[in-house]
Amino acid sequence: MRFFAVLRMTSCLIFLLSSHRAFAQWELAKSVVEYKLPNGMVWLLVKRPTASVFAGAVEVKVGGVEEKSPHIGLAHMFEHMAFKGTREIGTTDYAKEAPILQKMLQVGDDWVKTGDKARFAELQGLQREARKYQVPNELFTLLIRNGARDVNAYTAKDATQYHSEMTSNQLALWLHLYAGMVGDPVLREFYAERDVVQEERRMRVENNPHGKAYQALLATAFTTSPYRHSGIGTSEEIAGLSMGEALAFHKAYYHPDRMVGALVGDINIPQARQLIAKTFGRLPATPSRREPIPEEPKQTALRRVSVHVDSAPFVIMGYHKPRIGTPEDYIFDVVHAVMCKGASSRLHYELVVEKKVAHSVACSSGIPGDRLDNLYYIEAFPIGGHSLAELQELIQEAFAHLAREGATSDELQKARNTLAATTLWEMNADDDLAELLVTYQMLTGDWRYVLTHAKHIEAVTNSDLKRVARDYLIPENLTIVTAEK
Amino acid sequence: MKRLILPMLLISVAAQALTPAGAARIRLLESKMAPELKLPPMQRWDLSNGWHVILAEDHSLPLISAKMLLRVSTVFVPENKVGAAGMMTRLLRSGGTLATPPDQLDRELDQMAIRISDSISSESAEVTMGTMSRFAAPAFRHFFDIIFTPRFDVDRFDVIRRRRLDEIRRQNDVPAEIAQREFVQWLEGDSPWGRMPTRKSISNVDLDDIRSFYQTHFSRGEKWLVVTGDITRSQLETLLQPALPLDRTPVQRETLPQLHLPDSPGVRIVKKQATQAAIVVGHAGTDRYNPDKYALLVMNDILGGSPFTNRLMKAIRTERGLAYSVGSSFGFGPKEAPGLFTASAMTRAEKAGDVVGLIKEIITRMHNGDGITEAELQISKRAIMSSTLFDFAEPFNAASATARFSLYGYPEGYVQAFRRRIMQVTLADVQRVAKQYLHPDQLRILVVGDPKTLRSQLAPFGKVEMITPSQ
Repeated sequence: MRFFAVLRMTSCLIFLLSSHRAFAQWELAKSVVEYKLPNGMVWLLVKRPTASVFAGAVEVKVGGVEEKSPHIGLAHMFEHMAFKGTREIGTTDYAKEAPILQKMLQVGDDWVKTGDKARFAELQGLQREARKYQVPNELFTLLIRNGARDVNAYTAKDATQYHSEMTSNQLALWLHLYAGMVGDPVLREFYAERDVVQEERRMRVENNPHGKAYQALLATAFTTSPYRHSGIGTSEEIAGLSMGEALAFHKAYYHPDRMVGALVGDINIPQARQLIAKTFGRLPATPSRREPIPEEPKQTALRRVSVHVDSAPFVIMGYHKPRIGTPEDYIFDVVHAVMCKGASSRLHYELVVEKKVAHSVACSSGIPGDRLDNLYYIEAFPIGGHSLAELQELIQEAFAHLAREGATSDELQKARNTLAATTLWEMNADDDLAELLVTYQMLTGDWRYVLTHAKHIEAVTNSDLKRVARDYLIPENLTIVTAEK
Repeated sequence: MKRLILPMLLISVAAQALTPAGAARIRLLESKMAPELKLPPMQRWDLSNGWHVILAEDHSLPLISAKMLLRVSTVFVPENKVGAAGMMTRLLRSGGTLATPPDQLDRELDQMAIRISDSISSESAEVTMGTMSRFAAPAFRHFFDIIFTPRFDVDRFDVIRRRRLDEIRRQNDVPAEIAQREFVQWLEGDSPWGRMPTRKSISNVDLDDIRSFYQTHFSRGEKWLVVTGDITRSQLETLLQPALPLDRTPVQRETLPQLHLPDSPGVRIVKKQATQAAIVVGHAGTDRYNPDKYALLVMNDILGGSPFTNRLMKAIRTERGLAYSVGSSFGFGPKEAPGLFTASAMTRAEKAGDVVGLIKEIITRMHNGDGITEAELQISKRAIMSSTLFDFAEPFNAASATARFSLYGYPEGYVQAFRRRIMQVTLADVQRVAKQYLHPDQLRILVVGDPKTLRSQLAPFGKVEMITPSQ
């Protein structure tokens, strides 16, 4: 879920997020300046020759994984709240605004619990009163008028990320504003923003055939893991979120020990470090809440579900697989390259080119996230006249074939080259590199994961592929969602 | 002669929503200077066969990007075969080359992780290639073969035709996509500029049509070759040697037809089962050579272009929670065909009328010049100024834009001139262009959704026409 969508979006949202994590030896190892602030926040700085601009990203290890039913959607709701300003920004007089917000907190929580119309009217009155001191979008205005670009954020199951690019002469301002967003947010316009999130849900899930099927896949494949819930929440779940809960959520999880920052581009490293110390360095060194995350029990039989959509038919499938950092996860990266990456990959070639039964087939390893045990995901769109059943059988047979025969040495070499190239392209632009660094630092505890990835891929053998296919890519471990009118 | 570069001083904008302490802090942190635009070093030269080459070396990563940009237009495809041009460019890559049959080409490119993609529009076509530099030689060989000696394999043509038909079947699955397409169809559908492929037109296309479009139009287009990354000029020149004889076709500049956009208002519902209405409202834009372009860019930013700091977003999303996605765009087309001005939003079906009303009211207020402030102007100008810095930061983007500006016929140094013109835009300019180019009385209103919920809500805006999405 992004904070705001660029108009004219394409329909496939999820598959742009597939995990890319190969690496070819570049001088990254030498260029990343890594350090930890006394409060526990990790920073990764890279000076690159890009003229006059830099990319910055702050990732907080809090997402759907930290949510508990029925309070689903809080992490995403909070991402929206982070843009509403601080005690100094977005208000002309916080001292006068604060008591109104305090009242809104009580009245709003009460309204959410009781549904009392009188309380709602009271809430709207308070919002009008608060507006006397508020000017909407001030934080955005400060960023935009000082040259920020691609100001956005997203909430995933694993983490929440805030990022943008800016001109280098505004680094001090950027750090001040982003530290305020995560460290000192004021929950303004909470209930109006909840309606915005409902519209986002209507767009992404309710009126998007793919979004609808995707939610059904997660809810069926997972029974216990937090990965079973929708990231944005259902209509009822969003309607049940209150300001009080959002505040409590922030208090529990937005601490420096869950934060990673990265700056990439035309920056002066010593100066950046000083500025970081004066901004993010001042966040209190308090520990965040740590709770055990429920483990998903082993699936023992094929699960099927069908959803009704107002669209042409398609099928999506998921096989359970282990989380990032496990030996199997690297092997799955190779499985992915062999089976589903490129025009010569097995699934594309067989379904689209040779048999002409599918318009397209796409896959992703690590759905809906990487922190916990997750899914190897496949989606396929039949050509008119061919059934979903036909596609499912062909896909299952292709994995069974992999389990029996493994891959050719050409295919293994292709996987190595593809994974190496993918990571290089990910590092080409400053913003991609900044996001790559914070993501893998957060997921694995060490951004050098991207440096060592290639070595792990080199070591993958044909018997590894066969073993993983035999253990995981089997019907007992599979969930199938068919989507039809 | 050395040109004196003065740092561009941006007028400071009084912050409106800061506490005194907050304002003081921001004043200390904000830099008032807009950095100068520094373009990555580029070499440009022309080849014996007429190609224009733009090279930007960048050895920071072992990667090379290349792009062939061609002046060619989809508007010359016969009316009953619309879609043939797009199928042709797809078949370039997937249909193999004279030297390499398609299955083998797929395997070889994947094996070396070489990426090749294509696109074509009413003004140009592009074939783009990316490779690790250690595979530069085979990558460039395949890249040029794909463009100049395509095999147009008959079985791969069949794959593309079936897939293209399936895309038509799937084109009405998501409301926002239907809205954008049907709006263009409504305004431009009678002309070659706006015709969209249908089941019928795709079914009419055969391999001869593909070959004919390639020979008559595509291969005769003027060509720009953009190369950036881990490669030197002499390495590139060596790689170019075998490619030059492949293209001896003389360049032919084709005259584009005129597009006449309607100026009458209208209201349309496109039927779709959905709980959220996708709204597009708009009318004709203008061409990109219009000297008012700069003021129009600033005007649209204030209206609905700039992320969040715009009027549509503030009124519809932030204050009322009526939409997640809302904004406007002002399109600039070629001389022969003005672009489109559109405002779009998605809102729950029962609020569609309210949102259409708000959009209309906000456009009308803009047209009347109501309360456009110096602060709005400054925010927009600064945002546009800095966006040029990002657009030209990556060598590939800078070199690609340089090629495109040349295709458009812009003078040398266009981007620097663009920045100067943006800085010169005044409040009076914005008011004047808002009056001249926004036409609240000509707005076409299109909403995708359930007619049962929408019809009565839209009736106040005019006679409601009902259509089904095109197939």
